[in-house]
Amino acid sequence: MKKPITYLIQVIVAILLVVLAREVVYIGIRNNKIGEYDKLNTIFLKENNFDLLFIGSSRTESHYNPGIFDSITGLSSYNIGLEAASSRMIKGELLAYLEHSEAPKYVVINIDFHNFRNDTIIRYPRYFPYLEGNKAFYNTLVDLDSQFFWYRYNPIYGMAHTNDNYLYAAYRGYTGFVTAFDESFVRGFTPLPLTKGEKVKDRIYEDYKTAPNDNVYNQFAGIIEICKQYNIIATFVVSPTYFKKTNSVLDRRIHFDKINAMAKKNGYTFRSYLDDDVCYNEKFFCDANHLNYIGSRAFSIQFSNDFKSDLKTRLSGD
Amino acid sequence: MLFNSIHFLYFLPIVLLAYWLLKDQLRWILLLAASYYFYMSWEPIYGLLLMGSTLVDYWCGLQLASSKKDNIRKRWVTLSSITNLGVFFTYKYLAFFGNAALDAVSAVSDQQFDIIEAMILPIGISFYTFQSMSYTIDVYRKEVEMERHLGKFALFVSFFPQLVAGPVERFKNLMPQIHRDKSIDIETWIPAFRLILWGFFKKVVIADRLALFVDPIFADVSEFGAISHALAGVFFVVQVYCDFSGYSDIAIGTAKLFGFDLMLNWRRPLLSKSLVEFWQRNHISLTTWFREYLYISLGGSRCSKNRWLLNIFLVFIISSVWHGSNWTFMVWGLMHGVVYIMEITLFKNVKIPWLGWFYLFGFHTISLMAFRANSVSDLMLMYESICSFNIDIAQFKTDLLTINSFGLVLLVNVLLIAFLFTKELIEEHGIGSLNVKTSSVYRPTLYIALFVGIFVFGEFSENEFFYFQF
Repeated sequence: MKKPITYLIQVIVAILLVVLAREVVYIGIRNNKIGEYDKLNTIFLKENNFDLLFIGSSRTESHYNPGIFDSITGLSSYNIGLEAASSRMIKGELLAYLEHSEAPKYVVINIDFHNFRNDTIIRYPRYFPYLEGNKAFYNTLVDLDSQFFWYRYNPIYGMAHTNDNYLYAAYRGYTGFVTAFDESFVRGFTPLPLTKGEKVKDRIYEDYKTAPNDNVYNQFAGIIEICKQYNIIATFVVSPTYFKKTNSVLDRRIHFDKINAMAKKNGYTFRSYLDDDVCYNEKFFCDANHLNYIGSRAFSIQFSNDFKSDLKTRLSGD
Repeated sequence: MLFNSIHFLYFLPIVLLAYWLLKDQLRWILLLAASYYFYMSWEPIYGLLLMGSTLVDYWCGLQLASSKKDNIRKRWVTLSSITNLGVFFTYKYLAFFGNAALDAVSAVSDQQFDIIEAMILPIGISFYTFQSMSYTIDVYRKEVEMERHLGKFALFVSFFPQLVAGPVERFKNLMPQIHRDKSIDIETWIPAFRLILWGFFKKVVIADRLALFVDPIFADVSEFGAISHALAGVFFVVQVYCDFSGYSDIAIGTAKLFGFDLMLNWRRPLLSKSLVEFWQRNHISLTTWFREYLYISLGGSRCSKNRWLLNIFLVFIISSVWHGSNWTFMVWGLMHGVVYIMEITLFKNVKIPWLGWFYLFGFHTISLMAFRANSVSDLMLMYESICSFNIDIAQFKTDLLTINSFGLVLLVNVLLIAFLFTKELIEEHGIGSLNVKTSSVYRPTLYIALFVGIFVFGEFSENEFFYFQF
């Protein structure tokens, strides 16, 4: 039998190689210059100087086109909306952005039913390469899921959750290979296809209540505090969802009224597009919760004009 | 509890440490409790089934030992077999036969009945019932002495490393080890850990990665083209082997840590050059179980040639029925029965090594597609598609998009299969053929690579082992 020290060395070498593999994968991911990971790099690593940020969940990501917005308003904007982001995630993400970048003058915070209901993290391994150097965001993630402690400090545990999609992202980072999905991203905005599966008008929408707890409102209050601290002008927006879906959320008015009151109290604008014509036209929707690329274009134009007019009013008021 | 779960990662070291800290006389109690905990973590109520099977066979064993008359002994062994197979049959086939009966009544009487829902099969039930039954049959045949210690007998039936997917142990191998005093032997731990590591690699890296490709294709056969069908067939052969033999490796390695030697279950069956050889290497513990307790009971080869061939054929058919009530299993069993008989009668003197390998791998792929297909119509669709030789690259690219895969993943899978075969070929031809210096580099490099590979390429979504469903 070999000496136990020989086996110990072999185990240590194996573990070190896993650590090395993790670093190779993370560096590759951080090396992406286009697409989803370029967006995450922008949020969590780069030093930016945008005038305006769009922030929220997947509706933000697919509804607000910074290209259109900038051409109408003359500002420079970036869409940092993240799929499935809850109010807590939005706050953490904003803090993470501010740790690296200059504070923007404006933020557009998209409010939706998702913010009230869910507090989970989907596709969580995509955040692994950004756990270092983003204290606020890391703390947010650990609050949501304590396993993030192990993902960060135990490379073996982290690597076990890093599947092919992330290895492929690393590969793209090293080789510069670009997928169609990556190419669809324009300053953090990604348009959605015309439809996904069942037509929105044919779906059956069952009534439900979002019934958020106080924590959700506390998170929004926290976002307002951050905006005040950094002198950021916030605009709270409820972007379009298909009217049947909207009507199925029975307590929507209670919660949007609360957010509206919080915004008004701090001198911020609140806009809801839930009664707009776009919400009644199924051609604009990829699914009941998301506009397709035609819908997002129409909405981006409308919102940019509204924002521009709000801005004029605010400046003339000043 | 799955071997590839976080739960097991805590469970094993705790039980192992406690086991070696305890006095020898108390260890069986710990192992028994751990085994029931392991099993009941799926569904606590299933512990009662395990206990029931144990008590029935223990009692039958006692009666068999105390009875001298053959007809009375026969009654006890029959009782054991009927009880074990009865529970198994109820869970596995009641809905199938019930629905068939209702269909027949409907056809005659025009009455409509609700479909009987199939019951969820208690995990590993066929493995432990086979193991437990083999004891009463061995006692009946006077091949072993009956066991008087109920607790230790319960441990024989429920020993957690091999409880839910084998190896299906024999009383004469496992029971003496349960009785024997053990002292810790760290030297056996190194090969045990190697085996566990290799088992995990086969399961989470090879089998579960291949499953990502195979499962969606078999789930919706009509959506995919010929290349995907053929690849799914080949990948499934490797997937099911790595999944099942991976489990056995982890089971055997884990048992070794507790001082137990379980029987060899797989001897590189994918390197076989004939079906006869394949069945000598594949799932050995179950194949030999069928031989010892079914084939021999049917008369084995001590009869006329026709009866002998019929016995062989029946073993394959019964084995296919054992896998489930789907007709696809029957197709698989028929194919194996017919080809096996052809090999031992018509082609027994034909030996062409390399061609033999291609023949066996091809046949195994075709027959295993029947094993995996959801229905006979799906199977026929796949066979037709493959036989059309329609190499449509554009369709294949669409297929890859549908299953959320891409060329690079496919390449990794092919490389993993090549790695598996290389390792098995080296083992087949003896690691001893490598000189000491090469071997001392090969082994650590291999196991370090396996360790790293598990974490870099492994699928950790806690996929169940394929054979749990049987």
